[in-house]
Amino acid sequence: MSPLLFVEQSLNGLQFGVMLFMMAAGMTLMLGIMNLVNLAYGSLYMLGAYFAVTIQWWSGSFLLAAAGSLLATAAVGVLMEMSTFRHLYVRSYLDQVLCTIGLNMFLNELVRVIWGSRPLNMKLPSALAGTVALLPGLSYPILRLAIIAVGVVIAAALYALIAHTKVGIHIRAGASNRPMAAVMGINIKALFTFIFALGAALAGLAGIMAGPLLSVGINMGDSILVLTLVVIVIGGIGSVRGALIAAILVGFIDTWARMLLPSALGDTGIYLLMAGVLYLKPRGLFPETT
Amino acid sequence: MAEPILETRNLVQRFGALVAADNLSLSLEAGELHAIIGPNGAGKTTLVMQLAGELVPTAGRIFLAGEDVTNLSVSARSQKGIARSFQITSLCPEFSALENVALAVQAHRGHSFRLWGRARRDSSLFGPALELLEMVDLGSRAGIPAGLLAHGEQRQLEVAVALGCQPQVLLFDEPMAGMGREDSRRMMRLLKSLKGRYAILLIEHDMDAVFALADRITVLVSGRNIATGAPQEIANNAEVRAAYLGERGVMRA
Amino acid sequence: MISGLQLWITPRVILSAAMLIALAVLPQISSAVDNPFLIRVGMRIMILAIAASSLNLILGYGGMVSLGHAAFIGIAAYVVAILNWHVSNGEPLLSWPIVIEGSANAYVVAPVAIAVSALSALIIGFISLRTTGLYFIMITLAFAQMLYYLFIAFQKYGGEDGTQLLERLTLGSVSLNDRILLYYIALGILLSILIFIDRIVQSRFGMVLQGCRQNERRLEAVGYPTFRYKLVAFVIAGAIAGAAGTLLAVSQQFVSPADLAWPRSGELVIMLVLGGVGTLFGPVFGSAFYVVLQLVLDSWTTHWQIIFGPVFIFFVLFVKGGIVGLFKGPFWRHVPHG
Repeated sequence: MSPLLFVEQSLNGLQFGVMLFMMAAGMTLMLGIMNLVNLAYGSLYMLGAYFAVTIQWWSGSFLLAAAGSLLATAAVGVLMEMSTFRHLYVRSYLDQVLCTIGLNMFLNELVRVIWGSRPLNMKLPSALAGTVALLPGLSYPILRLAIIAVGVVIAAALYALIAHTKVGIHIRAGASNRPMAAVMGINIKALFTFIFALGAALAGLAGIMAGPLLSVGINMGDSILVLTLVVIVIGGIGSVRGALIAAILVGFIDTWARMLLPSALGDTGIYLLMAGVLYLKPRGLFPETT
Repeated sequence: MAEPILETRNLVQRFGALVAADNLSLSLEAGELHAIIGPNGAGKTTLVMQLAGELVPTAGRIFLAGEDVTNLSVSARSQKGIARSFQITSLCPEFSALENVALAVQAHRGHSFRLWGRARRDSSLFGPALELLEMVDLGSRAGIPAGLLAHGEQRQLEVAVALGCQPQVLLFDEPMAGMGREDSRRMMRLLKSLKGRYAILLIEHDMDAVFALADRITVLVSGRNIATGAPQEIANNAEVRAAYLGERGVMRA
Repeated sequence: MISGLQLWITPRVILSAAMLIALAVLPQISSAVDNPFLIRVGMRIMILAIAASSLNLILGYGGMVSLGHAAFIGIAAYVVAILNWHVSNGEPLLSWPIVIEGSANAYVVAPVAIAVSALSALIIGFISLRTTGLYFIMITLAFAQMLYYLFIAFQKYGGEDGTQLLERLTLGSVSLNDRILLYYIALGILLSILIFIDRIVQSRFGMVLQGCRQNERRLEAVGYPTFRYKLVAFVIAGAIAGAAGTLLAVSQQFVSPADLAWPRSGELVIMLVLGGVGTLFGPVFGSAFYVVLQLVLDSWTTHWQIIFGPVFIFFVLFVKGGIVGLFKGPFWRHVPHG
């Protein structure tokens, strides 16, 4: 296998990992801080893609589509939080699983009703559609580079948010000790809504990024959901740092496994990774202890 | 002098920079009631968790009847004879009081991989369980789900469950926590009746109980054993008084 | 004083008996109204009831929320299908180190299928049960998904489209082509499973299992190495799910990877909750209700999930105890989940 191919696949792995990180960061925050299992999270990803496709179709502008989709998805997230999830914070994990499965069913079908069953395609603006020569002999799609760049920016922004802002302190306080945080005057309700909106936006962003790469179809949320869960479990629930490392790791392993191994094993590569990690560290690589 | 039934040697527990147990050595003789007291944060809960097996000590050893049990799991230690009651009540709320005790009895009668037979009609389990319930004065409440019992009754049930484990050593973690005067007196009578028959390590804040029941008292401060001795010695110990003065004023003997 | 017999005959018992009788006479009703579709419905209900019962053992009684249980159904179904494929295609499954031929004899394929499911449960359980709570939910989901992709990758056996069972199955020399015969075999299996689970739950083992659901820490403190007990329950549940999967393959004469995907596992949990978690007949009521509801809603609109989703959410949030919970008996001691 040529070194150029290796570099290309590694970049693909990085790009995939970055997308997974978007999803994983949102979900791990929800899980870690709000103790919420959200199996409808994939549908937010799906909505992000669908909103983007639709807005682009109306307006013709990719930028507008991206921005609009982010806002719309975040709004849907807030709506979901205020209507359903508020009731779920105090319930058992089983109840949360059940309700979010029901919600997922509902949203998948709603999308089918509104947009139909056929997969849609997102058009790329010419700025992103081409390739660039990274190394002699290696042309890499600009889109993928853009995704990696966006991912790095988001990771940095999340780090800054959690480590250096007042909201970040609230997040960390809420994560480690909710009653204490409430006593300290942190508005838990507002914090939760914020985290939910942030999570929804991240999922929507991942959906927007996925749109041009994969086709936009129903049930696209279901498959990414499982991958997201694998990343969180490997990284450790509640840890954004763990989510980042695990996402990159999973991105690489998945891409390399597909490249190097026969197809059956390639798909299962990351699950074997997860099994291995959990066997050694049943709470993930960087568990946030409570 | 007979070997102590339970012994810790130089137990250390570190949580990052925090030292919860600092070179802690203490012993429990067969048949004695040994009380552990100390201000909040002194490391009493840490000690119980180490002895029960929920925490693996950073350093040090724990011996039960001369055998090193430091690396044994919680359930293995229970099988060896360490039984414990929890500071915050921890029972099976849907099972009746009787079933809770029977479950403990069952654990110590061979393996439970029996997928046949009706456990609830097994008199070899429920007979002894009922006796234990009557010993703690809960016989009349045998059929009530544990989650519906009054707080005091639940604390008594914890004791019965611990006894159901056929223990050599009983670890009682604040059995009188959250009890009113009437319940506390009942618990004291219960503990008194157990005294001498079992080796008991009693963590308690209630000084009346401690001084009335204990054969020996150990005082923990910041994870260290600062004094061990008969109740009168402890009451007269200057260092102990100093440690407690900020917390409780004058200690009564 | 209430006589012993009166104490025993509660609304719940009556309803459960009625359910069983209805299932037993369904073939007769089906031929009376000349609607062979009813038998298929009944079969589907029974297969799902067996599957849901197996999940009930570990989830309802043992407190292990597994979102990957459909995997054990699918694995067994695939074993039956694969052995069947090798008969119709004439080549052996394995030529070295020993020769394994295909088979369409239920006496052979059923035990093999169930054993493979049980073995899978042993492996998956051994790794998964080291985790608890949330991690357990997600790791079971992920394992099932892994198997889903694995079976898609088996292009030889149809890949994503699945594979048909072309060879007629027999029970020894008796052909299983007769739908009615198959139906009553399934009913017999369902009854046996229910009795079996009831015995397990009431046994010493069952008490430990239920204790694990209520307070695992307490059980460890009392001397039970809970991991072992949970693993045994997990394997038993996997085996029973394997029985369901075997019946599924035989009755549908078709298997596909979708049988293993996590939404299927989710459906099992839904059925269990609808019927009543931790009750013996809950899975039967739940699967009957779910299948019938799906059929009814489906006839109104293909988008029945839009209705079902919110209804189910409402149900979970505000209705405790499922269908069985609506019919409390004197010895019903189920404390509502919270």
